[in-house]
Amino acid sequence: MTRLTVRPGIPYRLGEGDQKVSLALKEVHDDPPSATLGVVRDRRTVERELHVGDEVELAGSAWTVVRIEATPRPRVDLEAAS
Amino acid sequence: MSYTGFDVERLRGFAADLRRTGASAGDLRRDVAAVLDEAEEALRGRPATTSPALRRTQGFLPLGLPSSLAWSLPDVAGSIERRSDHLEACRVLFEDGHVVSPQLVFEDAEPPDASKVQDAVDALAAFPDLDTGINGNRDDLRRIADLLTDLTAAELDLLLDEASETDLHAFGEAVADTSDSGWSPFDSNGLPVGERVALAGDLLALAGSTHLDDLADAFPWMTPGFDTTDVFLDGANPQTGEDASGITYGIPEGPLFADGVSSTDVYQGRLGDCWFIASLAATTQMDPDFVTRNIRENANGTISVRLWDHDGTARWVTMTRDLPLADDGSPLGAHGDGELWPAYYEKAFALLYEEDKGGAPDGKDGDPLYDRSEQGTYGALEWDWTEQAPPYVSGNESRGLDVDFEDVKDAFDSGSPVIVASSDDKDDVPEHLQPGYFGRHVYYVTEITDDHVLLANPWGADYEPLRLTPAEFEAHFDSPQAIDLGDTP
Repeated sequence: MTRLTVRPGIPYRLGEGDQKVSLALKEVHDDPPSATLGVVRDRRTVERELHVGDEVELAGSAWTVVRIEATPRPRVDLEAAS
Repeated sequence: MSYTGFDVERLRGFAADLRRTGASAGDLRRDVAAVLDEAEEALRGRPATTSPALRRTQGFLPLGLPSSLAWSLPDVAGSIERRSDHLEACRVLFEDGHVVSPQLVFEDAEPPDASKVQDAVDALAAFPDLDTGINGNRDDLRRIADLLTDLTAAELDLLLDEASETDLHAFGEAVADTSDSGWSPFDSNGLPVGERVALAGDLLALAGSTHLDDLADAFPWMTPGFDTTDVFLDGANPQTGEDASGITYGIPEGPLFADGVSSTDVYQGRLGDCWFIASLAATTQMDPDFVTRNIRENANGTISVRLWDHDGTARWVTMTRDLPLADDGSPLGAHGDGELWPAYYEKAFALLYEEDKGGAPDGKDGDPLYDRSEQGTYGALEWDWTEQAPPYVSGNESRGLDVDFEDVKDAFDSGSPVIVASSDDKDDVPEHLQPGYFGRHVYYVTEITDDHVLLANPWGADYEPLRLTPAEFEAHFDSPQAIDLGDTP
């Protein structure tokens, strides 16, 4: 199972060719757990609001949001659909 | 084995021919000039040739060919003669049972002196049992360091053949151990970071390629660790989802430079060191030649980057080509768009940087796993402040600016690269800026006019720069620093 942990302050590249995107975490909240993810393609950023259990399409693949934590340290974990 | 492929007698003969030809260059020039002068007289003052090269022979201070051969050919001849002397000395050593790497036998250097090598070997061997006295071992280490850095490439090659691995390791360990002995308040041990990194770098730059591994083993602190970085501690490589063990040191594919140097070549990669990468990109943006003046590739394949240490001393930091790689073979940290120079700048910085006082990502302050002081690792580069990188990049303290648009504009217009941090909170950032605005991040100025400023993201060219009005800039950014390139080479 491919798992992706996104942290603030660091860009994450996903995919190849036309599907290539960069991800960056913008905001994370604990109560209730939610996050804003910046998804950059062709230098344009689209913000995605995420909640645990959401399914999102990133770089042509389906991912499920499995963990969101603002404390003790912000993170969003995504798991690729098998 | 012997040193085949060199016929020293013929080489010396060639050098003599070059000297003779150089000596006759003046006569040739005078003959050509005389022919042209005569022709011009016959042509009643009209030029006898349209060739700029031929016309240059006629002046009072003739430049170019053939006059320049009068000094360039003896220069080449001198180099050939010195190299031949060097080769013959290597051959004598070879007959005595010593081997200098064939790559190094034809160096333009003083012929190798076996007694210098033996002195250095003996000093290394004697060090572990040396009574270093009440003042600690620093002076003793410096004495050995002087013996080592005084060696030519061929002599260093001989030393690395002849010194014991144990002695080299003991020396490498001692120079890195600056701890107080505890029993004397006056002792100084080990070598300061800048000094020891420069020492190891000097040796790495000079050594034959077959001995680079020996030096890397003796100085393990010249390979900055990555096991305290966030990406490793998270236990996963998010680019591929593989386990952290997928991160490994290796030699990446790609050239040091491709298509010149530009700030848009710089991509931060997977380490949380935007504050350093922004400083590097900002400097490159202001002075694209800065990088090529301060980085070089050595004959043995090592890379040297000039940075400034904690005390402001310029240091050429020489490193082997290996870098922490993700399991797809790409550099884990900073990289370029096909070129590798940002990765080596980052590695050199990891070796030299001494200001880490801990610091952790949001919410991790005080956690001993993340929030701890380090030196000589990639982890030490994560999560520091805007004013801390510029002195290492430029050799000068940066100038902290007020969050004042006019001050920032004045600094940028006067030739200072400018970096600036975003605020923690993006809630009140206007809607149109939100996509490109990332909190607690460092950007760099690429353009500024009376009505707007353009801030680039060190994450790379994938991210569109932020265009802000003066009011937006002052409301949502802080800690601007003007990098001083005043006397930076």
